[in-house]
Amino acid sequence: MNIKDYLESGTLEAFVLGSASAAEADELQQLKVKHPEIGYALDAIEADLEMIAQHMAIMPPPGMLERIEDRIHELKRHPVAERLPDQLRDHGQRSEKDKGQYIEVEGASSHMRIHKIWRWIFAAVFILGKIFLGFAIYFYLENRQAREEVKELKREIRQHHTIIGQQ
Amino acid sequence: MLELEQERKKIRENPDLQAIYNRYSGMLLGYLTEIVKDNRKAEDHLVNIFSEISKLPPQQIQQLFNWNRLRRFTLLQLPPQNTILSGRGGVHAVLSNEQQYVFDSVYYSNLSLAEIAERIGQREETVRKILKEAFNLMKGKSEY
Repeated sequence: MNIKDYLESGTLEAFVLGSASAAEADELQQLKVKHPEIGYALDAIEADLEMIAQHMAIMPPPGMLERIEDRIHELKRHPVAERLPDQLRDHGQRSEKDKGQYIEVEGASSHMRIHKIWRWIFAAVFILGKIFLGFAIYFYLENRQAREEVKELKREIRQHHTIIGQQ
Repeated sequence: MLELEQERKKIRENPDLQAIYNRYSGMLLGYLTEIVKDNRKAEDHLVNIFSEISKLPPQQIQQLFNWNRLRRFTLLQLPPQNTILSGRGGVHAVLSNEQQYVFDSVYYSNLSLAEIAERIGQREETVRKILKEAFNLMKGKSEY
């Protein structure tokens, strides 16, 4: 076999990327022992793949490491087996006393995770709250002023009645 | 709260996991974004993948300090992907549609050459050549 042709065939790239067949992979492993240049070429392809990936990299947003750490922390505190209710741990076989009961869903953690959309909903509720409070104050003052005007008018009417009575 | 901080400190002191994060998190996020086409979903997958890595024995974590191994580990954590030609930019821009399809099917969807050959109605040998050409073009582009 001409090794130069073999290196140019695309088999090495397919092998590194994991898409070569088992027969191709076996053949490559055997050839690699006899021809060290195949090993060097495989290393070079891996380095090139990393370079391609670097060109398409996206910087993770701030706080990503903390999110990962929190997830790992959650897994350590509540391993999967512990987090499953007894009914599921027993492969779905429920005992008589468990039948008809609710599954305990409350977690031990005092923290909760909610979708980020709630941030906007809370902001909207807060702003609407402020608007309604403004309206409430405005209408309260309007109402108070109207009552005082009514009182004033009543007083004037009484005075008019008194004056007319005296005449 | 103090316990959480101590736990975080432990992870930050795990040099292998920290090293993988420092070197590959950006590449991995770019890779995941290309696959799922959604930044938020890609970030969620990134969190999942690192939490899966943290469950591995230390020796296996060390082995993932290699982009290609990490990429293949990542593909195993994701549901099977369909190759979708979406006019990727960057280093992809130099590829023809056929080259892009073959490269993406291998790189992002982990399809075998036999499967790709069947899908595009070509011989495996031809697919292998197309993959090689695509790889060389992208490599050339990424060297600039």
